[in-house]
Amino acid sequence: MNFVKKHIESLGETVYSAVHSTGLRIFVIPKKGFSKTYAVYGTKFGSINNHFVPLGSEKDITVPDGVAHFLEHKMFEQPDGSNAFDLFSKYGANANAFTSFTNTCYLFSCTKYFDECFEHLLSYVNEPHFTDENIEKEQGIIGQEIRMYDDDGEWCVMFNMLRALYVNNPVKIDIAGTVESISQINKDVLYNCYNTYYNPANMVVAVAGDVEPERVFEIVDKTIKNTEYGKVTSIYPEEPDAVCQKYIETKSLVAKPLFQIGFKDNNLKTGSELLRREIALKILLRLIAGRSSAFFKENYESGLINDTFDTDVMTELSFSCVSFGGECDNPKELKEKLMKALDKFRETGFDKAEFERIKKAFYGSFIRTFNNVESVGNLICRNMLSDVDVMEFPEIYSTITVDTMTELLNEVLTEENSALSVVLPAEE
Amino acid sequence: MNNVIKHKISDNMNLYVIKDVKYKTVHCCTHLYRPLSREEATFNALLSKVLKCGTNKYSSMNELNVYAEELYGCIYDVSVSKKANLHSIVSSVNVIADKYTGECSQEKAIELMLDLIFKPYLPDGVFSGGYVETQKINLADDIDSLINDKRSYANVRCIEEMCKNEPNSIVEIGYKEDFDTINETNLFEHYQKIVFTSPVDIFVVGDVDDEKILMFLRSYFSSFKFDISPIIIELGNKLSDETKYVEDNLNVNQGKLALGLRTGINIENPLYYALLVGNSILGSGAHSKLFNNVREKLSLCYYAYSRLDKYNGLMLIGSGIEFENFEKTKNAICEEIENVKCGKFTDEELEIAKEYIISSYRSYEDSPGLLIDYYISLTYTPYLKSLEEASECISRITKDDVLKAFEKVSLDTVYFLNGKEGQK
Repeated sequence: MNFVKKHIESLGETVYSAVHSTGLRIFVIPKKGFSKTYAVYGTKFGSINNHFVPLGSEKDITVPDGVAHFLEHKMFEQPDGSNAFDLFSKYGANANAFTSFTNTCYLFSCTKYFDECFEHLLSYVNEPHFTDENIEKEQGIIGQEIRMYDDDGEWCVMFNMLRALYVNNPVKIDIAGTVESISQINKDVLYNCYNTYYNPANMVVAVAGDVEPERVFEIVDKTIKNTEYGKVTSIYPEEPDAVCQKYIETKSLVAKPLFQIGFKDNNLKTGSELLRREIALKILLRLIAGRSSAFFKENYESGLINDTFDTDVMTELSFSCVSFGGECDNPKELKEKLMKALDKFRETGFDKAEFERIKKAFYGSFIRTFNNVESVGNLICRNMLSDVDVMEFPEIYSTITVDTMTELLNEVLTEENSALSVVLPAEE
Repeated sequence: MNNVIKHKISDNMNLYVIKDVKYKTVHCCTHLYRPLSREEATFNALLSKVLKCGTNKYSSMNELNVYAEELYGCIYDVSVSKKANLHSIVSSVNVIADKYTGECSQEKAIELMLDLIFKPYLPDGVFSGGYVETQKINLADDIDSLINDKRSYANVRCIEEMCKNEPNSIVEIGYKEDFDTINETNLFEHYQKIVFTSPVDIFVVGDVDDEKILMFLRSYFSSFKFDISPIIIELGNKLSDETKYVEDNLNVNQGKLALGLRTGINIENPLYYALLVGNSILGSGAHSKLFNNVREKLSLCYYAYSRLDKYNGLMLIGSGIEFENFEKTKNAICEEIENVKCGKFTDEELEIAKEYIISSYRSYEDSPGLLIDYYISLTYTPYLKSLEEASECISRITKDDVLKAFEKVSLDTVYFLNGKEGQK
């Protein structure tokens, strides 16, 4: 396999990449001196992909909520009745998987037997084995996973915010689905999803650790079969610019009200522009409400917010939003204060020195990602699945100016893009 | 494997440096050790919060945050933690190594870490009354919000019930009922009483020069007068006589089961490593009996695990289940404990558990936080071994060793976070 080598001097890191004949993209980040090697194998199939044209069919189908996550669980089932964890355990490796809105990723970390573990990862994800019996068993396990999240106030306040922001976009659907929706899953549904989305051209593998890149490419070559695959056609509903509802409230057993103030970003981007938007939005939120901001100071000192206050940015190909959240006795008052602070920035603009300082701190957090094989592997995998070359970070970062902040402030952080989600304490 | 370099700064004050070129950051922390006591718990917890509000150079959280951002987003914190009978006040910094920034942030970050404990903001010779009051509110929020995470809540309640009247039942973040008696003056008195008399350990992990750090520390501390007495470490090894059952009824969707067991074995016991292997066979990892039987075979839960408190000789088993499956799950877990006790596990299960632990020891080398935690445990007892020796020791554990270690393992407390009548 031919590979490309990209070295980033300022980070002291090199990324090797190659494309397999099936279209599978492979990335290797050698991390000398690390004991652990991490590999993650991901597909662009997440909870939002519930409407698509199955491979070999002309008619589109809609699948039950929570299918991508259910499929993730069932991939561990092996034809001989064992589960995929067994072999990893034998090699002392830690294996796991996760499903997000947009992706499903399978991963392991090991300190020995990398070749064997890596071959196993590629093999088991390429060999589904779904039966009606093992599907029924999983409904019990995932049912408990769903119940666990039902009791998680932070999870509820975040999902309710997405439900308030989005009218049709499937990002508003719970990743694991509901006990009801997963009861409709059968093996045909799973095979339809698998055959459509687990297509090497729709997938990425990233490895970080003390490994030889050539060896990684060799194992991929040896393990991935050269089969012809069809094109993936996902169907997304039209999403209006307006938010679905301005306010949403539920109750849960929490000590203090939880809130998320969300802003819908309707300007979706791809490639370098997507990365640029993610970086710029993250800097913008810190500038407005980070730990050194006047907004944080004022509301922390008055006791309206506490140490849990934080900001978040979610930028994907099919949806984008930002949020401010934490614990607060009066979330409506806090939202008013935030909107006033935003208006003030619209009038006076941002302080250049402050912007430069926060930008610098943000660069520090990017460098910190490379301290750990898991975080660097996930960073590369997640971005590459969206066709974003995250190693362009230093160049893109340098093009972000204080003017970018003002543009985004006016484009994204407006009253009409906003919604407030609150989880009130339920009675004990 | 990297070795830790130990330097004595002064009596009962040590520096531990783990040199490693692979990290992009320098990670440091200072532990000021106190005996864990009910009287002091809230003072120490509130103190850690107030110390985080300012230093003599940066008098507010805002100024501190501005300064930390200038250091390429240095992460800093002051918190409390408990291990065995010690309650420590910990200040920590994580800073991008100078070689990646071309600036001199490392030494400034270390100084910040020290200032947070040793040079606090004292507007009128004592702590700021405003800061103390604000931090009481924040600490109260921390204490109250334990219920937000039901899994931790069940574990804490189980330990609280199991270890009643033992130091281990003391909550490290303190008690709201003490707040009324604490003000800026007596909190400062407490600070003065402890800051120069308590043992201190400083840990640094990264691509650093230990001699240079030592020199810096000696010069930093030269203006202070320390008179430190050591604290005698007491580890727990109590056994259980009978099983008690505790249930809370709260407005929740899922039941949380927490089983507290006593093992009689802490890190000073030669059987500790065999206990670790047995615990892994039972419930630590995807190879374990709890994962494969209680989750995979019986579909009772999404998670079921067991873990050890190596300082107190305890084992804690947790799982989230349907309310009506309480008996069934408890029995299934107890059956697996019995299986380990009576040797119903294969040689393969034994070997996999050993490999799992050895591999996790190796992976400590990639995490400054885990490394420091491990080296702290070494300072508690001369019996515990270096990571390399510990791996050696694990590899020699036999089935008989595991059986011996599990001999006295017994169920002490069964805690169940149940729903309320009418919701179940």
